Amino acid sequence: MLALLRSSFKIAVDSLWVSKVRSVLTILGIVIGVSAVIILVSMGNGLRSMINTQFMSLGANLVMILPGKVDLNGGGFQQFAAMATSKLTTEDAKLVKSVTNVSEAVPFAASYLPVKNMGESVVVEVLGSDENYTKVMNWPVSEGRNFTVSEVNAGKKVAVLGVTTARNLFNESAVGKTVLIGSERFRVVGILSQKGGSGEMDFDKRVFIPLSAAKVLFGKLNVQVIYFQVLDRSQINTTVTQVKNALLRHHKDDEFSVLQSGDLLKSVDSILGAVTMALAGIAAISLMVGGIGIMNIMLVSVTERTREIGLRKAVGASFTDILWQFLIEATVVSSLGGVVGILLGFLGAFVIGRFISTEVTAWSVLLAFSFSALVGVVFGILPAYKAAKLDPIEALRYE
Amino acid sequence: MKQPLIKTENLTRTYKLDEMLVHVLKGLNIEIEQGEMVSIMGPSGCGKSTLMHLLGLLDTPTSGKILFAGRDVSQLSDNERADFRGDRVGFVFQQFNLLKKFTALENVVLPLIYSHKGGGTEKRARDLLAEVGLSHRLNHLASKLSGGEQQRVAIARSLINDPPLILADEPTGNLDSRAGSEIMDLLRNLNSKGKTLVIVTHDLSVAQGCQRIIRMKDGEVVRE
Repeated sequence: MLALLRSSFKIAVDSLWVSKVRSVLTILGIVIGVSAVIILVSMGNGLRSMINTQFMSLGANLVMILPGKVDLNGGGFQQFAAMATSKLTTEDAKLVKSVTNVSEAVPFAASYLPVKNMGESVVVEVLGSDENYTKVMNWPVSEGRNFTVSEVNAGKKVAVLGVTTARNLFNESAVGKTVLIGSERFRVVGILSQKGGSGEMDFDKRVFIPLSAAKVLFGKLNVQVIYFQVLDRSQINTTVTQVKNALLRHHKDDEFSVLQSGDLLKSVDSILGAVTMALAGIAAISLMVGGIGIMNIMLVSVTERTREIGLRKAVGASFTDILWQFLIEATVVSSLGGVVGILLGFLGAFVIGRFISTEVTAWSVLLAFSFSALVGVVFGILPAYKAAKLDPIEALRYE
Repeated sequence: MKQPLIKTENLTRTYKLDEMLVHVLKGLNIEIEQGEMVSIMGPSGCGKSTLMHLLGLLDTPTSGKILFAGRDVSQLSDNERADFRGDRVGFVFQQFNLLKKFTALENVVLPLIYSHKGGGTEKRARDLLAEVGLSHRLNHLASKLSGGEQQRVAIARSLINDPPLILADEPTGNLDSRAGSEIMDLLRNLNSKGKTLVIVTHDLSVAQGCQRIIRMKDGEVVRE
């Protein structure tokens, strides 16, 4: 068996070497499939871990109160509608803060508004809050200062900018300058430290203003989210229940939802996990196509080597021996494709990683490689069977 | 009682060719003793190649028996036939049938892959190649060897499992007369060391180099 393995391996490598162009084309299908699996999975995982880090940067002790009933398994549209008709108020935040084990409870009202400085204008998420948002979101000011409790109480038009927005609007330091938010003029008192994120989720584009000013600016009195933080993480479930009970005195059950950041993370994570699997599945289809390419070439190879097969049978090779030989050969071809694909996958993930975050995972590499080897076996069966079935006399006569 | 190495009893082989039955062998009875060197002669289509394929268990008879050292080998399973071909018979073909991308040495050890014999195999292959006068060509690719050299490698290959019987199908058919007579010398030499040889040929000079000639015509033995 070992000798057969060695000899089959040599034959496989030799026949690959003899027709190089054909071999490269045959293997290419597998290479593309394997590297696609690795790259796509690495992108999915990169996204997951990026979101993970962002949630973690909010703090594991963070709990959110959202308006309406939140279904973590879907219903994004209703969620937007609930935001607009939110029944949550500043008083609710005060109520929550009075619950045992709650260290901070901060209300937020949010709206997308244009923010302007001279000619520069950006549309960003403007959040009205009280001065404690930096604590509850674990997000310190890096330049200037946060707005104060007296500014919040007086409804002063002061703003703290996310670092990206500050950079987009001002060439020099923004602190002390004024910006136009919607139609109102605000004085910039501070810049937040870098938080991260990208696209719609870019925290550093946000602008914070006192909630009292926001109510005037947005023209609505309710708040859309209340964030609160617990002191003792081990008591978080009890605290959440107490918060719910407190809120139920003023609200109906379907007017709010209490979500721990861990729950949110889990749900986002499971969605992204599913997306990653779907991507891997699509890439796996290209592996199948690669397998069909291998089968095609193996069939040609069996025909070309009819005489060789006849001879092997004449010198004592059984049906099983020939079957094994061609199965090994197909597996060598596909595994070689697998190895090259892995290298290419790493390279691709590295290059793409310079633009968006990627993370090559061991399971995707293992999966892609074993799948490519499996493809070799599965698509090698038909050609191998054809070879093993050959009549030795016919085969020896074959020209 | 001393048994013949090969004995056939009413051996027939019929092919179906476009709904027509072609009777290639029509009840053949031959005996070949241990240590004999026999040639089978006859015109094309007389069934001599078919006979050789049957004796080497590459083919199965339509009816009749083949007794190999007294044992009926005409009804063996596929695997048993493969083992038989590996252990008991060495084939030498007109076309040599070497693996072109393999060296002489690799070609000679090829049958060992299937006969599951290990240990000292390379030494034995070297010895055999030396015996056929190719010790200076061990690591040459088969495709780089001359016809005569290739046939010698093929003979060494047929001997690697030390089979009692060598079947040669027109072993000199693709060689010039000088290389051909060298090959015949080699085969005679093997015979002198105890191997039983059956040589299919239509070259009279080859046949005359054997101890006995079986002449065939239309699927029957016409004269011994």
